[in-house]
Amino acid sequence: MRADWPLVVDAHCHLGAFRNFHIPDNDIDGMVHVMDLLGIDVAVVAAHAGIYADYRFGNDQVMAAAARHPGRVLGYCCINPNYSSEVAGELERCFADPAFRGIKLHPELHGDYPLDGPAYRPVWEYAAEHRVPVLSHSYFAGDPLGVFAALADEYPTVPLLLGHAGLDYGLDRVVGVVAERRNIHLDLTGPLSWDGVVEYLVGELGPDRLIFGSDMPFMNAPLQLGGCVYARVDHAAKERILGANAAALFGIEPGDRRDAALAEVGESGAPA
Amino acid sequence: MRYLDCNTFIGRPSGHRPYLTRAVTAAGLVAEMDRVGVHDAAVYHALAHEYAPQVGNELLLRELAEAPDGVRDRLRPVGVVLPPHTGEMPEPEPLVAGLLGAGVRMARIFPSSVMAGHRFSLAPWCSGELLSALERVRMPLAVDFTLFRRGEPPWREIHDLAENHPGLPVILMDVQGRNNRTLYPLLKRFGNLHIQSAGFNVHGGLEDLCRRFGAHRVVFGSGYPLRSMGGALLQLQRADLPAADRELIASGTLTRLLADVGTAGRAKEKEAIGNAS
Repeated sequence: MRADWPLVVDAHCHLGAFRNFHIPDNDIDGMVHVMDLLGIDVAVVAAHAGIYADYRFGNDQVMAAAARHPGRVLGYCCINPNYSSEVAGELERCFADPAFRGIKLHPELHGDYPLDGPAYRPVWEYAAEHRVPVLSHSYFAGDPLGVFAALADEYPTVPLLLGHAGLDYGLDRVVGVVAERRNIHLDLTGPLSWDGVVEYLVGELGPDRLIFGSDMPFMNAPLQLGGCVYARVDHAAKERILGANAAALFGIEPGDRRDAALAEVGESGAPA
Repeated sequence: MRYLDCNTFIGRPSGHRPYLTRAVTAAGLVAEMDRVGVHDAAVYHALAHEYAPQVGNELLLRELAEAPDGVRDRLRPVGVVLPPHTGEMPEPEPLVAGLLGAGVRMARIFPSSVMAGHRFSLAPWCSGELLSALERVRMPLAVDFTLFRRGEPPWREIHDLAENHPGLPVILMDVQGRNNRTLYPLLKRFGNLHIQSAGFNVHGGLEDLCRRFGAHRVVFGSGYPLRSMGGALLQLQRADLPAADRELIASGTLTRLLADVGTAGRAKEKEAIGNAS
């Protein structure tokens, strides 16, 4: 049986080299090649340079990548709170380019700057005014889960993507916090490699706020994609997680499939 | 394409994040293999890792023996081993003979000093005799450092292990995705080092590693039931590699290594007998 994934959006991608380790073929052509192998239609990209040093260099890389692969590559605007006077201007510069559809915050790599600190305020205000999705990294030593909850409450019109689904907080605690906050969406990047994550979250929250992401090229995309494709949930839920939910958030129109690779995977996930 | 997963376990693990822990039986493991499309698996027992190796190994063999046809013959038992100095395990030679006698053709160690590890050194004065005994029969050894996702293996110990035991096939489990700068020179230097596929979490990683060192250096493995078996399968199925390379990774290399177990030892015995007569 041929599966039909109308759209696959990888909503958590990076781009380029990373100082901490070697990444083969990390340019946009290397990424699009992997997207073709996997049947990923669209990648939403925050350059590694953008989440570390330096944000302007990284956002320029994303602009060039989106121009090189129109329709396949969309961008997150990255800002660095340590350059607080430049935050508002960089948001304006990025969003003048229609390829930018979201904002990526990475407090850890910007000195663990607090997510609710003053230098991030222009981001939340801009996102609230323009209803731009904001994806923020989460990790064990970063902002507590309650900070995400408080920001979601303070800015109810902002679609807030909780990076890595808050894995390090424990998914049961995450479910308790996000269940009643409809503007928090769970970025499944990372948790997808654990068996049973999709089943658990669909069971607790339903599929409508679960977003597929891979961290490509920071991590290996098929390990993440396989965690969703082979999950023991129904086909409709997978369609939402793989693409439909992200399409709604980022304003992506379902287009022609770029590759039939995933169409050979059966409904249960088993090879057809 | 036939898939042989080198990295699975059964039993009731203690559990950790993301707190989705559950017990898995031999039949449950095979049911997942059937669902995903994996034919065979090398399996250890959770209690051999998380309680006591000898107890877990015995439980594994008992549970496999009691498993129905169609389950038992799909699973290859893996023995978790320790150095002998505390008396928790037999001396290396009888230990390996016992493993072989029980049909075990693959071993696994958890040498890390973190809580999830068995806390022993791989240095020759601690593990040398054990490693030599495994080397004499060329029993593949899965080395699991129980690394955190940002972790870094103890390179010096891997270097010494590979250098001192060139005839021992070593499979590095869960080497993670941030270690190529030190991993690659080790792979270049030591042909007996192998990498478990899904534990190599690198963008384009299988392709890059195979291009540099050959597909025979990668062994298919998932980490199920903690990790997604489907993810591991998709990683290999969609890799931009020739079918012959994917076949080597899927099962070819490990099947050959398992078939070779004991042959080197027998060859040496024959040689010794020949020299003596």
